[in-house]
Amino acid sequence: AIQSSRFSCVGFPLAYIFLACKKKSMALKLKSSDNKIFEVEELVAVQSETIKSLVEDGCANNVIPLPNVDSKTLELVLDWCKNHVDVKLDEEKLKEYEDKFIEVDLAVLYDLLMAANYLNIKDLLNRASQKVADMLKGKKPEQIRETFNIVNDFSPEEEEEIRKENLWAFEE
Amino acid sequence: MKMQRRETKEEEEEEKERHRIERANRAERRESQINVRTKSCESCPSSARQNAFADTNTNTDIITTLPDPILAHILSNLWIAEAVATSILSSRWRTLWTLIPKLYLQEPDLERPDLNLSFVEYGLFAMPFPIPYHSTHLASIGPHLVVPSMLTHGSAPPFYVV
Repeated sequence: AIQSSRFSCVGFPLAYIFLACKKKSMALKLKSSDNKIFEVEELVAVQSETIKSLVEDGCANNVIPLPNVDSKTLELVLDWCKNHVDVKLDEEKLKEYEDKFIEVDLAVLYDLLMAANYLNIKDLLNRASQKVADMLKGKKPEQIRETFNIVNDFSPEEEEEIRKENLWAFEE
Repeated sequence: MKMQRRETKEEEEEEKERHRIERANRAERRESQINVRTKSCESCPSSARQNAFADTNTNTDIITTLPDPILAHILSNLWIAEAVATSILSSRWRTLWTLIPKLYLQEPDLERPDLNLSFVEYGLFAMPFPIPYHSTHLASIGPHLVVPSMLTHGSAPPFYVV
């Protein structure tokens, strides 16, 4: 009887540790808008505040549908998340990764912005909007229109009026 | 004496009325813009995004189709002068900078005698929630961020934006 009780003393904490470890590396299943399933570690996925709140509310046991994100974008976003699990590791390397990650064309950048906004991933949203802002910086309105294919729907009179409204902003 | 007071009262009321009408007009315009946007989305269900995937180099203006909060977030990375200057791009961009959650002014901006801070008022005026604000009270917090001091002091506001 003494021996068995000693067993349970050892067994109980061991089981506890085992369960805790298992919980930590739990995999979540995410479903993209085109019905592809992505299996990711919880630590990676919860960088999305949206998914995090789902997990906290206990709604992440089955597949999590993400109807606003397609598989192409989700793959990119998850890659970003995987590389941001432990941010403190190597800042220089991380910066290098981010710069390379964000070098995409406008269509992809658009998708990333929408996905980061929907999934509520702050650092991705910040980096992507910084990228667009960099494309706006130091350019004349004509150049910006050209970069983003923006159609000018103002008449010359209207344009003059807007210029007058905030003249200081348009001076070089 | 009494007459005078009544006159000023009337004037005040007139001004209030004017503010109200202006606000209503602005709201109407904003709504009509939104309607146009959603309508155009309905008529082309594929949306600009998928077109962009098909041909990135042709004339598709996808950045402009981003929702307001994201565009405002993008503009918040710019100096206020650059952000305000985007109002000339197209009618969609005209009032976008007024949604920027933070105002960054460069110090040279502040020292310019011709700087008209009424744009701050305009920006706050367009906000969807009430903000007590008076244009003659501007406090500077830190080197670049300028907020109306009414926000920090919380005295009686001259008007509310609803």
